[in-house]
Amino acid sequence: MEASKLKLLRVSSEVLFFIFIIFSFFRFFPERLKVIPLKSQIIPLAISFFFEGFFLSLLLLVLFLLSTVIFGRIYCSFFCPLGSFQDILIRSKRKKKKITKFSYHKPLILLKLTILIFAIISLISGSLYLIGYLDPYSFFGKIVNYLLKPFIVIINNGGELILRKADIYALHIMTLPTFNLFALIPFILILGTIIYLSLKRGRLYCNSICPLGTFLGIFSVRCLYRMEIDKSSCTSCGICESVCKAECINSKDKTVDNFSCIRCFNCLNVCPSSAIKYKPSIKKEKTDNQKIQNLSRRNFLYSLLGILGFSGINLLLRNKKTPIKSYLPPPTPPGSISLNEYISKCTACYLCVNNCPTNVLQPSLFQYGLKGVFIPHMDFYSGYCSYECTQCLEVCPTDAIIPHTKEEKKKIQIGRVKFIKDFCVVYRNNTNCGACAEICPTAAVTMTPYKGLLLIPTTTPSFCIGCGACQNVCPAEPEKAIIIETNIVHREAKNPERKRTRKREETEKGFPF
Amino acid sequence: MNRRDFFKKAFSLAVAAGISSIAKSTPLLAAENDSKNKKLPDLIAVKNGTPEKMFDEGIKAFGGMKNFIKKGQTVVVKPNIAWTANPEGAADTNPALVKRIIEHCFGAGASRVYMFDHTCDDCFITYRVSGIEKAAKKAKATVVQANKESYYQEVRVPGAHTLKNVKVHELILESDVFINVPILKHHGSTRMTCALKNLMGVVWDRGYYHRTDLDRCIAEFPLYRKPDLTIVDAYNILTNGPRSRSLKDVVKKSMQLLSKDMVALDVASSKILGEEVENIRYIKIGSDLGIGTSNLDELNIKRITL
Repeated sequence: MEASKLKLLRVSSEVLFFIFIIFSFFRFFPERLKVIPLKSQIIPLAISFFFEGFFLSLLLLVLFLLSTVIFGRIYCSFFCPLGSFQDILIRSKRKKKKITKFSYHKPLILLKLTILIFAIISLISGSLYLIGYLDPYSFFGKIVNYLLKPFIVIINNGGELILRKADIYALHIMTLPTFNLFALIPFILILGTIIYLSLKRGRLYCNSICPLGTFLGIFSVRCLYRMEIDKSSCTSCGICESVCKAECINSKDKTVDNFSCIRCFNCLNVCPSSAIKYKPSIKKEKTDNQKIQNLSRRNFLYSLLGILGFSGINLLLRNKKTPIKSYLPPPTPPGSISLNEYISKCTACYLCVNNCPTNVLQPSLFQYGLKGVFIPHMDFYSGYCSYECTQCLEVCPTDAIIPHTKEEKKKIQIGRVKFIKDFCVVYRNNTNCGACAEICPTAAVTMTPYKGLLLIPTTTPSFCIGCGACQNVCPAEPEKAIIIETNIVHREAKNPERKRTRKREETEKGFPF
Repeated sequence: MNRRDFFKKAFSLAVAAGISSIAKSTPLLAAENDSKNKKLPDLIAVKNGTPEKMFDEGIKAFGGMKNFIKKGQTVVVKPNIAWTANPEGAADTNPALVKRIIEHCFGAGASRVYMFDHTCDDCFITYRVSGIEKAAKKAKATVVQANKESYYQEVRVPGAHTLKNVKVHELILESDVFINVPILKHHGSTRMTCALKNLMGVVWDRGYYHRTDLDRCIAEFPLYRKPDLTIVDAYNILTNGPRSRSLKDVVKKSMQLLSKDMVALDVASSKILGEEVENIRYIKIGSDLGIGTSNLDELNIKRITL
């Protein structure tokens, strides 16, 4: 393929995935399409495979690793949304100052490997706190949640207000994401680092801190298609070096560091003597084809071995249970199976939080302890889980919330109802209420005769799915009279007995009045 | 501001208020005169037809929609879209009826027809599943959301004892004509939801209702504004509601009631549902407050069987 076409391919893939990944965070985007762009994200795929063994995740994972051992770190420039975010920053600077000159720097191998080892330890230890900040996709999710979303919500709501005053009801009001300062501190620190590094040194973040970049870099060193400089035709003019975002071209020594090269293909177009080339590295080998095969086969085996070893270690460590606190944490979303499984798989990308129509999913602080810090929890004070909705189950890229059909989800019991009569409006004021019973989708709360004409709630916890609607609407103040007690391990709710009869038809002759 | 300025401003404000109150009361007087001339029935009951057909006949007996809507007026139609259920579930107003009402509104010369309800379930899903959004849009009504507080404005309820102030959807404040389209259902706590109870869907803080004497709040709201017309959808009724959980609770009655008097409608509806009027507390409170008449014998009822 021609050099210019390679860059075009890279840019179009980058733009496409960047836009569609952002779209996935918004409710206007069709549910079924949301899943597709996210399948390009390696860490979520890895978590989905390691913990759930989903075949599709394995297939895509192998495909990505295979493409890495053949083409190098194409993920970093083709699919990574955080990479695209940095490219936008780099580009905005270039527009302003005309030229940004990059120059070759030695790779920070020790730093890279240390962070990678830390990330791997944290991944298999069952807490994804570090991964949530170090995985480029998950961190990008936080950028959408904390930066882009508020911006769009403010513009949308302003526009909605102006249009509404002009009698046009085309837009819908959106809700601002919840902020808590404590969660913002690490976010701002890392975001600041990324912005600073990208403006000063291009994609240095990807080549120093990002553990995924390091991991893919390891495969990239000996990949099949490498970036190489033809020493005879190169004049060491340094043009390629000055456009290299990854700072991996050493024009003096006429070498390219393929560990750091992110395959942006910027250098290919600029070389006046066409000395820099992206081609299979078969120079020294005699039996060319065999070598290619050997190389890719060896790399493929390495990667497979890596995956298997990794999941093996993980399985050994996984059975260690998180000690359950004496107080009950808030419920986890339906489909997350249990608190422990949920904590060990969620990277807090907040995709579910942004897609939740009722805002019941909110980023937590320490509700799930230190191991589950900042991951989303069910907050029945801000909303309740809509009976007909399966958004979070559908979108979760790491399968921390495992997909279920709507009928299956309607029977997952994430908690059980508890009625506290002393706080109930009916008991305290002797007036009708029934807010909890009318909103209950499963007949776990019903109204039964109390005093005179009054009716009071009665609960059947085995019918309850723990959606929290009753707790959310209970008007009792200051404390709710009906609450959900978390199931640490989700259960199946029983169905209230229902006869499958058709509707009745009554045709009396006249009117009853 | 000196004293003279203050008086000037106070005077101009008073004049403005006076003009606006005169302007407000004129169309009301005109409407009263119209109805006196034609001796229209107080309540119309229709049965044995499709919801659309029954409405066509019912509104004809009321002298047509033009009796309620003057040319160029804005109309707000408020069906019950509280719960996520398909039309068969009878938890929400029949979409075909909503569509036909909107068509009649435009037929009478309405400049715009708005349609909304403050849903209990998620509004996007509920609007869609109930089929009402689609039906209303087909009839060219403006479908409006009611799920955020910024749509609501606080108003004083004159003469109220419990519900002194309430946040009401801005369209109820702004629209010239207000049409209430409840569906008749059994209700878990108030025992019946119909004309009066349906108006809980135009207020923001329903928690206040539930917390501070639900029945009294329901009965006091019309002191702020009564709908100009209420159409009770009793085609399919739900005998174990308000949420639709099973088809076995749905009874096909094929009826429809039309009136300006919500109390009379609720009394008549309770008889269709088979619930004792005495058990439904808000009917008595509403009748005592003068919202309407609970004695059906005093009323001129026109019964139409198709």
